[in-house]
Amino acid sequence: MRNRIVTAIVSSLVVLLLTTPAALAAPAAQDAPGESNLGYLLAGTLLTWAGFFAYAVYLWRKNRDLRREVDDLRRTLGERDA
Amino acid sequence: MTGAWRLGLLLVAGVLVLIDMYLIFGYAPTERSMGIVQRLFYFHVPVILTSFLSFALAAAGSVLYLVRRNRAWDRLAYASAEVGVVFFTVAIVTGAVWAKPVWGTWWVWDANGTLTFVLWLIFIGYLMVRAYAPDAERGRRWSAVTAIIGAATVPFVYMAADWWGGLHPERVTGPGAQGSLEREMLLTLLFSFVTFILLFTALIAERYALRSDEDAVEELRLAAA
Repeated sequence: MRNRIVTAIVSSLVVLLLTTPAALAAPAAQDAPGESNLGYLLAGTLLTWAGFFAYAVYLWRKNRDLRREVDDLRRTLGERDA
Repeated sequence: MTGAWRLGLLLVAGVLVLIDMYLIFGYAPTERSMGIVQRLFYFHVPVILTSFLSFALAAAGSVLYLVRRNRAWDRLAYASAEVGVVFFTVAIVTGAVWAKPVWGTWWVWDANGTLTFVLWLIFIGYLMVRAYAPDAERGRRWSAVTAIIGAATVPFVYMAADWWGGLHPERVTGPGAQGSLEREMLLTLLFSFVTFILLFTALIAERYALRSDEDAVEELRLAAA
């Protein structure tokens, strides 16, 4: 349950973070004529948060696999003791 | 640190990230010569300095593990090294994306670029040693030595542009820096530092707890065998 809540919160934050820069940076680009680097700015921002998000997902999946393994091991040990 | 504390830390980090995004894109002024792409500065600099901190922490944990043989220090070293690799990789990517429009190339093999790549490889090596060592104890010892060597490389990466020149600009912030920043830029940069340090702390706490569980599972596995 806790993992689901964390995943939902993290996903919402990531979506918000990925869309906010585009909305906010566009007026700045119009204010500065001759600037055409918005794509690089967005790419850098997206890649930064995508990197951290990917790591968070990796940790979440590792945690889930570990819990499954603990359950299996407990079952194995329980059967052996019985 | 309990699970509730770790979750709370992650949530606070998430809120700070949102404020930081506002400061970067809505508050900090646009730099005159590089234009809006300079805003990547507020990601690149705090992230790379946080990764240096992470590598230093990995080395400290490794030294303490080698001296005291306490597994808790090894867990700290491992968590720091792994999270440090994530931060350093993000810093390299943002640096490359920033370099392309400013320098006209994604990467330059000057002293800074080369040493950065070497440092990244050392800590990738750390993770590989942990994964492929013949047994866990040797993996812990060998990787501890690798982390110490890696952390010793950090000052050279930090000072490379000052000592050997190249395309990478001299530092405008941090110890020994020559340049200066406008007040709004400095405030945004400081806030970014705080944000990424908190995110780093939350990830380290999470990875440390996971590592403890992995060690517990390893012991259970041995008991079951």
